[in-house]
Amino acid sequence: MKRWIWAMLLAGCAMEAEPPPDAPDISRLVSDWSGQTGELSGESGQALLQGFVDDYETIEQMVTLLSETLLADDGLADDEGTEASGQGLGVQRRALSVEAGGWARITYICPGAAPEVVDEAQGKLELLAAFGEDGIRDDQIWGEALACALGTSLFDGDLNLWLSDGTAAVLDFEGELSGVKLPFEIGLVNDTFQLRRIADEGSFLVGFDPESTEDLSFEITDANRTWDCTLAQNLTSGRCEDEGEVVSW
Amino acid sequence: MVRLIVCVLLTSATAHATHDDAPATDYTAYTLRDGEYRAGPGRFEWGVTETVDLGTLTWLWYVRAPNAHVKWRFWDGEGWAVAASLGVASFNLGRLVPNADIETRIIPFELLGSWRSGQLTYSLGFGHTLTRSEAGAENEESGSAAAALDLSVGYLHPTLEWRRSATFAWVLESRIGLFQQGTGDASSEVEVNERTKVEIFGAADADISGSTRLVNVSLGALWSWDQFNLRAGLGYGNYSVPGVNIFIPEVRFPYPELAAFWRF
Repeated sequence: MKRWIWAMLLAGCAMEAEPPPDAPDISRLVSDWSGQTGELSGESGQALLQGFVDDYETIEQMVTLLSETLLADDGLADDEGTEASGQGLGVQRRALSVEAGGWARITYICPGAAPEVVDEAQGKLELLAAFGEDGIRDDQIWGEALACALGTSLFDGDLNLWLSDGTAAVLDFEGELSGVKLPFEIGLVNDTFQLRRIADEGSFLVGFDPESTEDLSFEITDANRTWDCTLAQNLTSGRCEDEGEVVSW
Repeated sequence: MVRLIVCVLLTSATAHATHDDAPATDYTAYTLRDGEYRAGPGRFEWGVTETVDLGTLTWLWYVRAPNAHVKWRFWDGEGWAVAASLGVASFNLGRLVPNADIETRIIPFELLGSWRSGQLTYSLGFGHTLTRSEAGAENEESGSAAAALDLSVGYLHPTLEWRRSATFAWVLESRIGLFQQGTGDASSEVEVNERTKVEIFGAADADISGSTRLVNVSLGALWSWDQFNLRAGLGYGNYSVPGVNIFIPEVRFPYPELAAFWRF
């Protein structure tokens, strides 16, 4: 009898999957990273690279956070052989009309200072992604770093990750890094880490390879082009070059 | 069940099942008389009162699917009758196939109106059947998964019965699909590695009506003798699976219409 009563109740209640959580608005992030406004000059080049050197410790930690976030995001790719950046989560259309979607939650235990140890005490990243028939919806992954220990740094705050056309990932972090309040944005575009910086002339992207920062070579993307730049060992002079054109300070 | 039917048949008293004194109940709003039985290989029904029938689809028991339905003729007028029927059925594929734990529950509902005039009975029904299937799997290594699928089918059910004598009638019956919609959701929890766990919640809506209208029509002959009734005919169109009432979309084919039963 209980089974029948249950079945009848079931008929009256439309079944709903666990509803997807609301995604934060990342339109500003998308717009900021879609095009830069400044035009490189000697003054802005010097200011940008000097700022980079001054913030290097934080930048290094943010590189780690972005790398770990992307590693956690790969959980979507590894699950059942779906492709990276969640493209495989899409649902193929069949002959009959189908509308499909859903969402995923990734829980990633942070590696802390001892990556060989998996311990929830090292904190975690909790990431969410909504997906539709074409993959990850709005190319957006969001979530939280919950007392996430990466090396000797501790991250606690909100994360927004924008995956732009499969070649770029931009992380917006707002929270505390080892107790210091910090909004920070960092990108990985065509395998180059990028920072978005504002100078008097407008906005720029400063690209760098964290593996070879000792070379003091960078890329600076302004409104029109991408410059190859080097900073002298004394950190006070440098030059940027593109197609024979040179800017130096 | 077979024993019950045989016993009841053997002990049944006077039986009147001709068209004149016992209108057909399968596709109309009419009900069995108080205490009357309708028994056949596909369906067994009992007239609990003059206006309420209780029954079961016996063929579903062959696949170990318990089911029951009730029909209530709640309004009678001059030549008119209106009835509602509601059923429930449950089927677990695991009862037939080991390790196939898919539980299906079916709830058919039909509202029927019939008008009897002279040699003709016109009937029109509106039916809605909900079918829900659920499956789950758990694996210590790879994680767990669960899925559910709801099917909702709505249809019109017009029928025309033309009585040519006390024992013989032509029956023209049709089902016209109004909607046939599937809603599914699934969740899975996978431990990608010891550091990463992924939970996925997915949902899908599908219109499974196909590109052409869902419709079928059958023409059959119904003989109703004192106890024994036989209906035989041929249908054509999108076949509607009995019990679940799901139309097979996209393909239309001829199908036989056959029912043999006793009323006593």
